[in-house]
Amino acid sequence: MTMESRKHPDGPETFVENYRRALDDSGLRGALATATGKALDSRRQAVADVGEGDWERLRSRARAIKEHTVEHLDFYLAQLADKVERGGGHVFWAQTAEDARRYITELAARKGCGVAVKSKSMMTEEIGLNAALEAAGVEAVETDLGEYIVQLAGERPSHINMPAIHKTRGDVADLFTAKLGVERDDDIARMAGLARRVLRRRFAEAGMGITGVNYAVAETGTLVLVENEGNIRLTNSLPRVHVALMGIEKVIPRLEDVDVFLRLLSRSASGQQLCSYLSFLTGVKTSPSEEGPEEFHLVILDNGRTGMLANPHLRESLFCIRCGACLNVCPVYQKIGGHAYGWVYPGPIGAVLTPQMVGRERAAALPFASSLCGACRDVCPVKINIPDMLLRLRHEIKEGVRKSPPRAATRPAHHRLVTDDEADDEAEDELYVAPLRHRAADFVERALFMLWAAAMKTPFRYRAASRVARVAQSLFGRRNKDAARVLRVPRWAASRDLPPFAARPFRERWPELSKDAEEYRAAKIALPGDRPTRDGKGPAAARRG
Amino acid sequence: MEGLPGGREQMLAQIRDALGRRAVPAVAPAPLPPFHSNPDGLDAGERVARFIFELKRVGAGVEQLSTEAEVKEHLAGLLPAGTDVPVALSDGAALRRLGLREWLEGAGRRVLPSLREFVAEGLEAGGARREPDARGEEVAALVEQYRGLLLEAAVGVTAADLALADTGTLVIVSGEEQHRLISLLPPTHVCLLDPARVLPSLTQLLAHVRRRFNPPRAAPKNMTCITGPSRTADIEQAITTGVHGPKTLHVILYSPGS
Repeated sequence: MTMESRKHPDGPETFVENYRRALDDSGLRGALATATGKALDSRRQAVADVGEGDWERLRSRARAIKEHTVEHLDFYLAQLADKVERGGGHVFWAQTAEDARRYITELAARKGCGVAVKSKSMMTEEIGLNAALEAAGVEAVETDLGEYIVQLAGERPSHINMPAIHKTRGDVADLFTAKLGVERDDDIARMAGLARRVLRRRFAEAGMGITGVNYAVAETGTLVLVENEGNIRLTNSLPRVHVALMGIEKVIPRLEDVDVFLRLLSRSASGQQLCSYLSFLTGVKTSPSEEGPEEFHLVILDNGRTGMLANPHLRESLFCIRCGACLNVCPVYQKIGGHAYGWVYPGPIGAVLTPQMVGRERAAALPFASSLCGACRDVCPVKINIPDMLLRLRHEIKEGVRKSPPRAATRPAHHRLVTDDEADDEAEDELYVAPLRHRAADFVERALFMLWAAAMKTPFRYRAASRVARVAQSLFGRRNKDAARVLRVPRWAASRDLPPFAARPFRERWPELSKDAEEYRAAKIALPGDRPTRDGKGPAAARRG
Repeated sequence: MEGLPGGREQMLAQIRDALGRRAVPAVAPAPLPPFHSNPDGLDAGERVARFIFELKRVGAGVEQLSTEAEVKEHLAGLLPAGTDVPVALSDGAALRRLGLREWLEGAGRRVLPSLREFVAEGLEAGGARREPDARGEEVAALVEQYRGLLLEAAVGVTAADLALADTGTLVIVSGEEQHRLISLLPPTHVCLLDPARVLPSLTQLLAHVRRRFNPPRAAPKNMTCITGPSRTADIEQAITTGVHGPKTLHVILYSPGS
């Protein structure tokens, strides 16, 4: 796989070009197939160990907790903030990504932090924190191994919890040689050891540690952080200042509620029963000879989330616990990977979140990049109905419904250095304007669907229309591509088959077929469609006694 | 710069607006009915057996020992050769009862105690020379020095307060002992556990925390749950241990009563 292909400054607005490029990358497809396959197998085993019944109970409970919390979000957030402040922490309420970036960069300046270590956090990707810190003269160092690799390569993570899923060990070895000046060695354990040594030095010199939050418990003000590597523990234990960044949806009411989510999260993400490390952090130290940071800051970020809250069709977007299972199971993600989605959150949940966060215009193509097979809904530990939300977003995009608050999060989390004014200009320039040929195709598509709807209204019209269609198709030699070309809907037909019409429609054949079926049944012969019953006979036989 | 003016109220008002609510909720919402996960149905002995099984599954070493002498002998076997490499020893009560520090130092080992012990001893050593005002700086310097020393330690020894049978998890609560760095920085973590402290699962742990610390009033400042060594699968999904935390984890099950 070529590295250049993913360095292209892609965004959600160039999704079609992005995925075409990804599909041409056979190395990427291989890496994705292996990684998602392994993750899914482990997950399946872990769920089987719990038992299907208990797994369903856990999912229902998790969903109930999320529904309850979101319904009372104002209460629980206020409670959380009060508890954190009582425990000696600072709480900053950030409306926008810009608010959060400014608070954190100013804090770093005030505290004289030249180096900030970061644990993996999708939130910081979402607000483009690294670029802002760099612009303010603070070196931001990613410490999660996958995230470190991606940062060294100047890329974006391509998976929610497997950031470097798109890279082979050879890619990583090349990268380490180029960036760290070491001799090439593609042994995975030794590469991990090298990263440990390099990053230990960074931890030792960092004045600020920045983490995300998995769960924030309202009643106690406790943050729960979940990880396997130990870099989150280092990040919240070693530097003098700890900053944790959370979306408003990360709050949960009570300590006991953590239980259900932890049982679901690790199993869904990696098939582990429990991740290696859980940290429960409550309050700041009161004496210098205690362990842990001197200062703690919690940044509670909206960044367009109240827009999701206000839209009853899309509110469930806020239930996501970022396990990544829907990415692994998605037939689209499996083929194109995360970078093609063009923003921070890839896969099915990304196709739901991105249009709501960067604006429906800019990410107009994403909700359409789904076969609506429903696999994401089936694996979701919180039972988020992703296909329904994709349909809703398609509707809103086609109808021009714009419920997202304007400019809430238009700034993409580019790894490039962009000042805010530039970013705004850029966002303005990049507004999604469909090319003329697409708009023409849209018009044809719309006209065809109107004809289709008209034809489906009465049995007479339907019969007449299908007769016409049958004749028409026979003239074009029953070839999809030809039909598509004649109808001028290349986009629609590029990925869909227009099956040939049968010479005689089923409706006409039905009277004979049903007569045949009755004769078979009378002779007590099982039809292919009959399901065997307990005693081995077909249902027809069972019915007759 | 504690927030933008009215940041909190403005954001909460926006959320209320999105929820279609006017007023600030005066009382806490009625909590969801309690959720009961299935009990494991194991007796104490079976629970320890399950814990050991799960521990091995996550790649930790485990030894069940019955005398103090055995514990010390086993621990000695886990320490690297050469007495110059420091052994970090936390201040858990179980470790103190065994007199591990005295024993290790008696054997010529360099022991790095917990942070508070290190600071207290450092202050005592330099105490007579300094003004009380300079104490803050002195403490800060000692903390800095401690971190540097801990980075050299080959083994960190802690006790665990509790454990979870169904996942093979060790639970260490701060306040009881300073475990955060000692259980994390050295490449090997040795953890002492009383088998009587093995709980069935996370459910009972959270209930225990509630009883003991009585939330919502207070909660332990730090509680760490450790399930196996530090691991990553970030390169080609190959499981690799010791990427940031300990590469190896050894658990010594020892009941002080026995």
